[in-house]
Amino acid sequence: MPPKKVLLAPLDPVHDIALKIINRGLRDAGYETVILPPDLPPEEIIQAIIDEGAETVLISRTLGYGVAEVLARFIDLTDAAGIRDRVRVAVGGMAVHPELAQELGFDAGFGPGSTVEETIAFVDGREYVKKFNFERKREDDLSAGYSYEVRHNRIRELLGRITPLILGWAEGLTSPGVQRAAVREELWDVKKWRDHEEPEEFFAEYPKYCEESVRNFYEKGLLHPKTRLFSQKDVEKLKAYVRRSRRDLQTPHLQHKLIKPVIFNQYGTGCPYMDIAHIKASEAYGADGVIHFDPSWGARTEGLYDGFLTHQEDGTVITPANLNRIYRALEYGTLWQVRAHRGLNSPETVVLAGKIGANLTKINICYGSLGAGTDPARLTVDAIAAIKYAVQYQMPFDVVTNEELCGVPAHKALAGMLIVAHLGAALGGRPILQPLFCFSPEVMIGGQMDDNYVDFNVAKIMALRAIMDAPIWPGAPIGFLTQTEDRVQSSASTAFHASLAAMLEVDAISIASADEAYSGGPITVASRIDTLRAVSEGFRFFGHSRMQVSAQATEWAEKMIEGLERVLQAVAARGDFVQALYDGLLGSREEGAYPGRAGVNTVVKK
Amino acid sequence: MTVPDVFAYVLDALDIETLLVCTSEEEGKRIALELAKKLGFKDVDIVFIRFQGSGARVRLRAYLNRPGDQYAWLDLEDAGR
Amino acid sequence: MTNFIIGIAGTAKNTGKTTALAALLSEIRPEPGPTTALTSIGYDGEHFDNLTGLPKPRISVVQGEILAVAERCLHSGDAALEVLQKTDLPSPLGKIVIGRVTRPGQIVLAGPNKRRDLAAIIDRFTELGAGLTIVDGALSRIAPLAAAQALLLCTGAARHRDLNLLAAETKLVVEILKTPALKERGLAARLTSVLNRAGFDQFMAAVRKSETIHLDGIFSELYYSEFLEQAGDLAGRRLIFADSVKLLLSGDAGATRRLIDGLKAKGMRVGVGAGPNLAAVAVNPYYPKYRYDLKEYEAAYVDQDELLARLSAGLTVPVFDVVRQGGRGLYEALLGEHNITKGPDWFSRWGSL
Repeated sequence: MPPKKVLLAPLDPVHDIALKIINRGLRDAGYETVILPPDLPPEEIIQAIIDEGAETVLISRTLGYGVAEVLARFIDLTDAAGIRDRVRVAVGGMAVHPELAQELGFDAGFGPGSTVEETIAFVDGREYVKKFNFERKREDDLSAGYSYEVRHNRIRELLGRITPLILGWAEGLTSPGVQRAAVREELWDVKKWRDHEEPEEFFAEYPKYCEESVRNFYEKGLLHPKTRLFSQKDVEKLKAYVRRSRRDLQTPHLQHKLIKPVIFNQYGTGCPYMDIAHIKASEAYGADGVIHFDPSWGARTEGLYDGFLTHQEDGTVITPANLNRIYRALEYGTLWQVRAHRGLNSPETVVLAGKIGANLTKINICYGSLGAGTDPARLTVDAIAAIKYAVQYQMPFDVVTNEELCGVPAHKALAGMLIVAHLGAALGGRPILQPLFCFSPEVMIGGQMDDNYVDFNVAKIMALRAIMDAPIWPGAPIGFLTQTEDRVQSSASTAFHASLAAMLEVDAISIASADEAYSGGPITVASRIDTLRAVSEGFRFFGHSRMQVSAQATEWAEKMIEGLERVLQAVAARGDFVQALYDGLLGSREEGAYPGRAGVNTVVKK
Repeated sequence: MTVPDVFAYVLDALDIETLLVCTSEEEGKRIALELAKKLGFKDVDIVFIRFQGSGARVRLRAYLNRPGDQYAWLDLEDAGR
Repeated sequence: MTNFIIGIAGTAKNTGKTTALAALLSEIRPEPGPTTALTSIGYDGEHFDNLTGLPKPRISVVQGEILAVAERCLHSGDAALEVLQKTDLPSPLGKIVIGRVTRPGQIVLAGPNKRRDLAAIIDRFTELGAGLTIVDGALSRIAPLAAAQALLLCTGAARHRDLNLLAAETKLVVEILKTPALKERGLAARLTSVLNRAGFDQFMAAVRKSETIHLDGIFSELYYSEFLEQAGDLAGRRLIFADSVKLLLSGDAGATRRLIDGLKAKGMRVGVGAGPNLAAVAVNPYYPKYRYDLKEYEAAYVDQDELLARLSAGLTVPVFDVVRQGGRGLYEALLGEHNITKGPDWFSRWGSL
C-alpha cells in the first residue's frame, strides 16, 4: 500500500520551523510529504490539498487572540470546498491542546512537547499511546551478556584459590541469620500472607531465632521504640493516595539517546508512604529503578519485624508489610533493589525480597564487615547463604565498596569486591561490580582528585575491566562527598558524575538527591527531582560524546591492578579469608576499617 | 467539602531560596530564622547558608510533613480539586 | 417521526452562543414536547475561556435529554448519562458517545466537529426518538450548520466593539445568508471551487460556455475583482452556490455584497440552491477587554440598548438580547409557526409522544 500522503502547511505568516522538523521526521519514517511555504492564503492551501491528493493535513500556527478565527475559517473553508470529509486535519502550535482542537474543528491538536511519534500515530490513524520505556525495563537484566571471565591471568589464579577457601571454611557452618532465612523460605508463603492468611507455622518457629526485642514483637506486640504502626484509617487513606498517584504516569527517557546507564534512585525516608511519594517522583522524572535504604539499627537486630511500621529516622524499616506496600506502588517496569549487604539479616532479606518481588539485591562481605559493623565470620556465612538465595530467586546483586569511604584505599576495596564477585559467580550468581565514584579519604589525603574528579574514577573502571568481564554499576550514590548542601552544586556534581559514567558506558548508576550532604532533616522530594533533572540535562548535553582517557588515569589504573593483585596474594597466602578480614588485609584499622562486632560468636556448626 | 488549608498540598517541605543582605554568616542565619518565624513556620532549618560578597545566599527549609507524621495531603479529596 | 434541527452559529468567540442556547432551552424545557437532543461542533461549557481566562457559562442538561459528547467529557460535570451508544466517530477528545441524561446537571458539550459526523449523529438522534435537535456552534465556525432547518446567528461586541461596524456587517451577513434560492436555466455546468488562478481560469471558461454554473464549493474573494472585470459579457447567466453558507464563506461580507451587486448590474444573477433558514439574530454586549496595565483580560460591555437598536434597524430577521429579554422571543422566532413550514408539523404530534 503506498504511503499516506501528508501535506504540511504553516498558516503562519512567518514561522514554520516546527513544521519542518515534523516534515523531516515523517520523511525519515517513510511518509510522502509536501510542505508548503508560509504566508499562503487558505484557499491556496486547500487547492494544494486537492491537487496533491493528500490524505492528512498538518497545519501549524502560533495561537493568540484572533488567531482562533483564522484557523476556524480554514476549517470552514475545507468543509465548504468539499474536502473536509476526505482528509484528516490536525493543528499544531504553542497553546494548542485537545479542547482547542475540538473547538476549532480539527481532528487533533498538538501542543508544545508533542513528538514526531505522536504525529505519525495521527497520520496512521492510530491512537497514540505514549511509549513508556517500562516494557524494556522489565527485561533489563543488568548482568546479561557478561561471562565473569577473569582476564588477568595472575588475578584469575588467585581468585581461583580464594573462592574454594571461603567455601571450604563455611562448610558446615550456620548462624541465626541463616536459620531465620530458612524458616522464612520454607514456612512463610507470600501468597497466603497477601491473602491475609496467618502463617501460623511461621509464627511458631521464627521467633525462636530472633533476639528478645523482636521476639517481644511477635509474642507481645511490642514495637521497636523508634517505630510506630500505621492505623487502619491511615492505611486506607494511604492506599487511596497511591491509587491516585498511579494515574496516567508518563515518563521521559532520562538518558536522552543513550540506553545505558540504567538510573537507580535511592529512597528511605523512614516512612513507606512518604517513600512511595518519593518513588512516584523518581519514576515520573525518569528513574529506571529505585533502591530501598533501610536503617542501620535494623541490620544490627537479629530478626525482622512485620507490619506497616513508620520510622523516625533515616531509612525505612524492612518488614514484609512495608516492602509489600512499596512493591505494590511501583509502576510496572520500575526496577527495585532491596539491599542485604550488611548486618544480621542478609540472607533472610534476600528471601523476603525475592518472595515479594524485588529485581535485585546487594550482597557484600568486606564492606559489611569492615565498614558497617557486622562480624566478618558471621557475614561470610550469611553472605554465602544470601548469594544462594539470590541465585534461587534469580536476583542479580551488586557488590559495593563503601569501605573506601572509611579510608580504605581503592585497590583494597576493589580486591574485596572481586573476591565476593568471584565467589558469587562460582555459586551461579550474577554479581554486579559497584565501585564508588566518590571523594574518598584516600584521594583527600593523596591528592588524586585535586585537579579533577575524572581520572581516578576512570582508573577504577579501567582496572576492573582489565580484570573481569562483569557488569559495572558505580554508586553509592555517585559523587559521594563531592556534594554540599548547595543544591545547584550538588545536582551539578551528580550530573557530571552521571555523564562520566555514561561516557564510560557503565551499566547502571545510583543517584540520590540534592540533599545528599544535608543531615539536618529528611530529604525532600523536590531535592530528589533536582538531581534527576540535572542528570537528565547532562545526558542531553553530552549525548554520545566521549572524552579521551588521560595518561594519568591509565597510570592509576595500572597501579590499582598491581595493588589489587598484591592484596589478593596476601589473602591467598593467609589461607583464610575470614581471618584476612580480621587481620586487616582488605582494610586495616589505620585505614579506618574495623571488623564489626554485631553477630560476633554467633556462627555455629550445623 | 471543606476547603483544605493550602498548606495541605505541600508534600513535605517548603524551601525558600534567597540572598539576604547582611554582613556575616551568623547574621544571615539569625535573619533567616526570623524570616521563617515571620512567615509563620515552626519546624525550620537552614539547609544551606553561605556568606559571600555582600550577602548570604541561603536555603531555608520549613518542614510541613515529616516522614511518620499524619500527612495532610492524604485528606485531599479526588474530585473537584 | 422527523427531527427539527436548530443550529446556533456565532460570528466570533464570546458572542453569546451558549447564553442563547441556555435561554432557548429554558423556554423549550417547561413545554411538553418531543425529546430534545443536544450537541456541539465545538467545546462548550468550560469554566474559563481558553485564551482570556475569563469565566464562561456552562451547559445545564435535564433528565431525558439525549446528548452526543466526546468520551473525555462524559464526566466533565455533575450531570450523569446513560450511555446509549459508543460511536466510532473520533474527535480530539475521544470517540463520540450518545447518551441520555439520567441525572440533571452541568456538562461540557463537545460533540462531532465535522459535518459528516454531525449528520451521522443527527440520524442517530432521530432513531432514538429526538424530535428537536439543537447544535451549538463554535467560535465563528458555520459550515457544519448549513444543514440546520433554523439557524440562529449570534453576534455582538466581541465581534466588533464599534457598533456602526457591527451593525453594517451583521446586515451584510444576514443578507448573504438569506440570498434567495435560484433555479438553473439553460445549459448548466457544475464546478467545485475557485481557489486559485487555474481554478478561476477554468471557471471563466465554463461560465462563458454555459448559462448556469452550479458551484459546489466556494469562490475565493481573491478573484472577485477579476471576475467583475471580466463579467461584461455574462448577462443573463446564473451562478448558483450550493447553499448560502458557502457564499458567506467565500470572502468578506462586504466584498461579497459588492460582487453580487456588481454582477447584478452586469446582468448576472447570484443565488443559492438551499438554506439554511436564518431565523433570528441574537446580540451580546459582552467582550473581553485586554488590560495592558494588568496584562490580563477583564469582562466589559457595550451599551445594551444601543446595541439592540442599531442591530435591529433594517434587519429582515428578528434580533434579540436574550439576557435582557429572556428566551421567549427567540424561541418563537426559531420554532414559531412561520418556521415550521420548512419542517415537519411536530407541534401537533406532541399529544402522541
